[in-house]
Amino acid sequence: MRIKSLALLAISIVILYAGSCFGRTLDQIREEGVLRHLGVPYANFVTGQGDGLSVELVKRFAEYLGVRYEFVKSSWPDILSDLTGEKPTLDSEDSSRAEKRGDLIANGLTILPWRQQIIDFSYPTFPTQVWLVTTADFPLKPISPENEEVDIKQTRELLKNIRLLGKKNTCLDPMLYPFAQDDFTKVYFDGVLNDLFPAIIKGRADCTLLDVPDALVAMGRWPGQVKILGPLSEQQHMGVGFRKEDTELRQAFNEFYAELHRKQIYRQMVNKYYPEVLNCFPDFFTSDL
Amino acid sequence: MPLKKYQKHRNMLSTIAAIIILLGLMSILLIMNFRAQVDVQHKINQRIQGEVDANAKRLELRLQQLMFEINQLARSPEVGAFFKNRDLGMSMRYGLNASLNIIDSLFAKRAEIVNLVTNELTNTHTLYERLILLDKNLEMLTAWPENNRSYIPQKVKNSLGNQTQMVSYADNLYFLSQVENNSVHYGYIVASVDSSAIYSSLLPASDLSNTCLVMHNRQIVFPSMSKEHREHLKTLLDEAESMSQKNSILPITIDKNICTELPPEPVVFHASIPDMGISVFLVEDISTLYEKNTPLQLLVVMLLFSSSLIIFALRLARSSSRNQALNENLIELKKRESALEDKNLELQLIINGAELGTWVWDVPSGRTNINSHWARMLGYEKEEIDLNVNSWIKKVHPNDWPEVQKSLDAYLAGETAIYKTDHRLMHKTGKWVWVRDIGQTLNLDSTGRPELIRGIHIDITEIKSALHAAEEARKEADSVISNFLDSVLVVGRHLNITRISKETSQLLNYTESELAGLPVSMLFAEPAEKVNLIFNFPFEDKTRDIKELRNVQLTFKKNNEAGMLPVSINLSRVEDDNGAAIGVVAGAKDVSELNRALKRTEEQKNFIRDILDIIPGGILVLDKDFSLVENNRMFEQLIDEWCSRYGFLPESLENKILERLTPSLKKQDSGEFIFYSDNKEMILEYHAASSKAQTEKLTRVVFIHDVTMRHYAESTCRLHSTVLEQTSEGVIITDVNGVILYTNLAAEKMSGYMLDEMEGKKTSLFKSGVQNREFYSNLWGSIQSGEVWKGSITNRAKDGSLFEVEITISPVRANSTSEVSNYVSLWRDVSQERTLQQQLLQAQKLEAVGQLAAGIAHEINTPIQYIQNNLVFFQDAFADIDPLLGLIEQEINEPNDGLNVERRKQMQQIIKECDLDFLREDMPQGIKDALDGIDHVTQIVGAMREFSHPGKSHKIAVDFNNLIKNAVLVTKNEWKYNAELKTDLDPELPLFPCDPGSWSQVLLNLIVNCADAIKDFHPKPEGLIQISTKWDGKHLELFISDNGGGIPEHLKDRIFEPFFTTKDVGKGTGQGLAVVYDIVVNKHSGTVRCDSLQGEGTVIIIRVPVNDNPGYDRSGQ
Repeated sequence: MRIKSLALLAISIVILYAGSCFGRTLDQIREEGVLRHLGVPYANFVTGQGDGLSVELVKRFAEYLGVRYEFVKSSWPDILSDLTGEKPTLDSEDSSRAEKRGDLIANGLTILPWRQQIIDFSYPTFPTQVWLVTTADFPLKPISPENEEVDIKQTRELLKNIRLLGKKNTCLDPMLYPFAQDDFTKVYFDGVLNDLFPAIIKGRADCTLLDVPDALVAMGRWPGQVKILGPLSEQQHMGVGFRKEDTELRQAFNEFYAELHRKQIYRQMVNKYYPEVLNCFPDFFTSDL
Repeated sequence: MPLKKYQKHRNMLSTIAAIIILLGLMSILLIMNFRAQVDVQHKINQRIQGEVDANAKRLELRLQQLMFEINQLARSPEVGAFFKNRDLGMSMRYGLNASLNIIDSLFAKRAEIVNLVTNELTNTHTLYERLILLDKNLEMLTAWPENNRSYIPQKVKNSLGNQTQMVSYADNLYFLSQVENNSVHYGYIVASVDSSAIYSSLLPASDLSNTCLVMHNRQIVFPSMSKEHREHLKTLLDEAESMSQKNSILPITIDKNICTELPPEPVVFHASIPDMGISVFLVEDISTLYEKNTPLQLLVVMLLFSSSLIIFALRLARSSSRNQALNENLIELKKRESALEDKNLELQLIINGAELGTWVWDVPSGRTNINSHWARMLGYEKEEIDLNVNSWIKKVHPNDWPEVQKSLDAYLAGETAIYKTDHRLMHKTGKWVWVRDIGQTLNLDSTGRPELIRGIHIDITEIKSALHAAEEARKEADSVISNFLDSVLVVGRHLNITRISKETSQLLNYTESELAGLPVSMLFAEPAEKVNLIFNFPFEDKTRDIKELRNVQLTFKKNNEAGMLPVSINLSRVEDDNGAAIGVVAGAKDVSELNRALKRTEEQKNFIRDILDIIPGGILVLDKDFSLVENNRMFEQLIDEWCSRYGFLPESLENKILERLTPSLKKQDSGEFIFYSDNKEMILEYHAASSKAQTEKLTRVVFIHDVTMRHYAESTCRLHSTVLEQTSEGVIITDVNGVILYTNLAAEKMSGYMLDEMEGKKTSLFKSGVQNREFYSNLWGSIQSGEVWKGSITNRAKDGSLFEVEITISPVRANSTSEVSNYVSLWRDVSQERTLQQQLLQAQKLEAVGQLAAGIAHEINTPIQYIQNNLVFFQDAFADIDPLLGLIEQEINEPNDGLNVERRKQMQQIIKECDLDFLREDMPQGIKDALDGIDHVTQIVGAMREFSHPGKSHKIAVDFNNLIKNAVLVTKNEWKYNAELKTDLDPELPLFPCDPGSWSQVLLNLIVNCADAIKDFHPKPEGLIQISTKWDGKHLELFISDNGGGIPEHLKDRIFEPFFTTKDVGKGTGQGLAVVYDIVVNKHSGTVRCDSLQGEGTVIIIRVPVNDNPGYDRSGQ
């Protein structure tokens, strides 16, 4: 009996160790000849049909490294643990082992402080902001813009007594922002981010949080049905996520991305997938990194 | 000579004949040539006019397409969305900019599509120069391309809003379209196109011999030219156009000094597009269009040439060179024959190559020569067939013969220029072969009727079969479509209905003929633009090769307002053999039921969702990997509630729950887990059920809810249960009939029964018989009316022993308004208490006895003293009379007849000395007194014994008046010095069931209190104690009064309190009246009242029921 227990313990240790050993250095990636891109199908970053801004970006990076590209599909709740091999929680006290399934995360991942405690981000690759969005027929009037601070204040006033749809473990979780304490009812959504606006159309809540890329996609997909009320966050950035220990890989990506940015190739890529955002945040794509 | 002359004459004739023939031939040739030239010129004109017409048509279509595209842009959802968003109040920063960017993308996409489509026409990289969106105030909102936002000409701006769709200005053509939504005008779409890119397509680039002119709204807009040229040409063209018929060649004369670009001898072809105000002119150079010479010129030349030739021939003849001329003629003829043979060979080659059957029909004889191909078509060799008209007619299919005969007769009658029929001929094998039969006359007879007709046969069996098959297929398709059970309609390129099933026509309340050709948009309730957009999908976006659209939701609009019908439509493009789209076939399915079902399903889903949302617990749906798929809204609310109640972090609690749930579910489907926050704990209980859906994916539905309060309640309940179980008081719960449902350990201990021995039994199990039926009746009446009953009951234990308990019976109601459902009896075992009370009572009695001891001793001492005195008297008396008694004994024992004198004297002496008379008189009294004294002592002792008896646990019937007498006797020494005691005892008083010891105590305490009250207030003889009894038929009433100082008003309420006394320290213990109260009220269900007036005295009134008195031991009677 004791021998059996010891054997099981040994096997468990080996499995755990093996699971946590997937993390690879830049040299190992080059040696093995494949770069694994962790992504969640989301807006036009990862369309789920083999393309998207993030997919194209990482494909080019793989080409830059001289290795094969491989997409590893993940989910919002698991994406960080799929990269780090540890299941994080917000209180960061309770973590457990998971499999490291990819080398980097790229799918419109917003750079948030709590995420920065777990992973490192590349240079910002995309600007965003969290907007309060509702349907055309919902009786709330959009704000009159002045400046970002006033705009956010005006938009927060619209939250009073509404049912607000958000999604946990994403940048669209109301609890991440100061307006979390305002007088509204939180409704959490279990579906994918792309379905947040359809859920509003179906009456799941009165309003939803959408980041700018998703709002722009929604406006294109449901013309005339989307009403943007105003911003609820300051301007944010998205970036590519790396394990904290993979500094070489992150450095290599930053160099690659800087070159892409400098040659205006990245702007062309953005124009392909998010032409609207070039006008919304013109400075981001013209200023130096 | 005559021979020579004849020969010469003959030669002459021959020469003349030859010349005449030559002349004739030449004439014929010239005429034919002239006619051919005229025909050619006419055909060239027709061809060019046809090209101009076709170009005009193409131009019209192209312009229509462009207008349609611009209208489409104006009606696009993206453009509409911008204005709608603007109406919603959205700002440029938050949304409107993006909306404009979407329109930019749309413009760019549209321009790219047009470029792709028009590349082969225009040979240019772009067709649209600009696409502009204006608001209704003509402010530019956005434009494509981004870097080309130049102004819009005033002429174009002026045309906006006046229904003009197309404006030419400078070298550009502007297309205008209004943006509207629900009849509200929002703005305009303006598209600018380089007009040369459009119009140059009218001209083949390689052919520079002609020039194309385009006039739009009576202004020449193409090609570019000076204003002077333009005006000149416009005048010419206007005049020419007004003089000629539509679409015909215009005679104009160009001033070469002005229009150097145009050919010197122009001929103008014209076509117009009246709806658009456009005229197209093609100016051809007449010198290059036809041969240099006109047919007439050619005829003159040919005549001159022929004349010259004749003259030359005549000269040759005259110069005796006739033979040479003949030879030359012969050579010429041979050449012609050779050429003819070549032609024949060529023809034969064609006939053989094409395997054409040929026939020559000699009409008069009816004989017909055929070639081998003709014969082989019918499976024969040429030699096998001897064909004439009749045998040929027999081979013609009877069904085809009427048509063949009709054609043949018409041709023979000269009504048709050529004989041509398609008919079947019988093959050698009996099958039918389709041939195309074409014939033309070779020779005419003298009456002008055909004499010899030559023709060809072409085997068209395969073509006919193919056509037949195609026709069959078409019919079959028509039949399928027409008889299709579901709605099917076929829509052509121009969005008109070409075919439709009967089902559809019936469904829509139309006849099939009414529907044929109708615009498809009329069948639907949706706006025509939307319907057209859907049915135009194969032609809408040629860059996307969309084969079909599925599940398009539209609404059929029935004819004559017969109602609406929602349908789901699948559309497939219909293609020709080259794969080009030529229309759309649409299958429509009535989805009203489906919609209703979906609505019902949706309602049911909402109902279930609402139910799930109001279920007071979280419902989670997990997939096979235990990942959360769905949860009810209540779960989210509960998470918030739990976080708020127990102090968890909202963002982590849900994950924590899922993490704890996963391993738990792997072990068992139900269970609990505990979460600890800083200072609280939360207990969640889950129940899971697994199911395999159709997808074979294992899903789990988990119900999770907070059981913390339940645990707390259960814990409290357990505590209560433990307390109940372990409490020293017996607890018995019964139903309303007194059937025992529960007893605790204490009750078991008291009764000696085990729980299982008591369960199901009635409480009469404990009936001891001490209490009578009336007692129990009162008890039940009390608790059944919902009152709490309290009292003492003597029960019988299992071993037969009696035990007394104080019982509180409380009715229990299921809720505050319902009826009594149970009774709870609390037993307090008072056996010990009774013993102690008994001991206390005894002690108190003994104390009282002790206090009375001196008095009692005095009471006893007095009779004892006089008994003692009497006994001393008797002793002395006996000593005095004893000698006398001895003498009497001697006298009696000595038998003599006479009395011994001595003795007699001695007796007399003794009698004298002892005063026998006195003794005889006093001693009986003395004895009586002694006996009285002994009686008195005996009474006192008996009363004392009675009084100090520890009492009985059960009651016996006693004479209450006797008890009073004893008490009076025992206490006599307490009152006799201060008061007089009078009794008035009712002789009708029945026997009273009681504990006589207790009642002696009562009487003792009351009498002593009266004596004490009087003692401090009155000297004898004013003191009076009165004791009376009365019987009212049910109650015994006892009145004990004194005329002492009375009780101060403020102390009246406290006199029955234990240990309360107003007596001096050491004189009273404060227990007297408390004991009275306990015995009268608690033990004998009586009442005790005190009436007192300070300075007047006090009366104690006791009233006790006699028959109701519990514990009446009849055996004691």
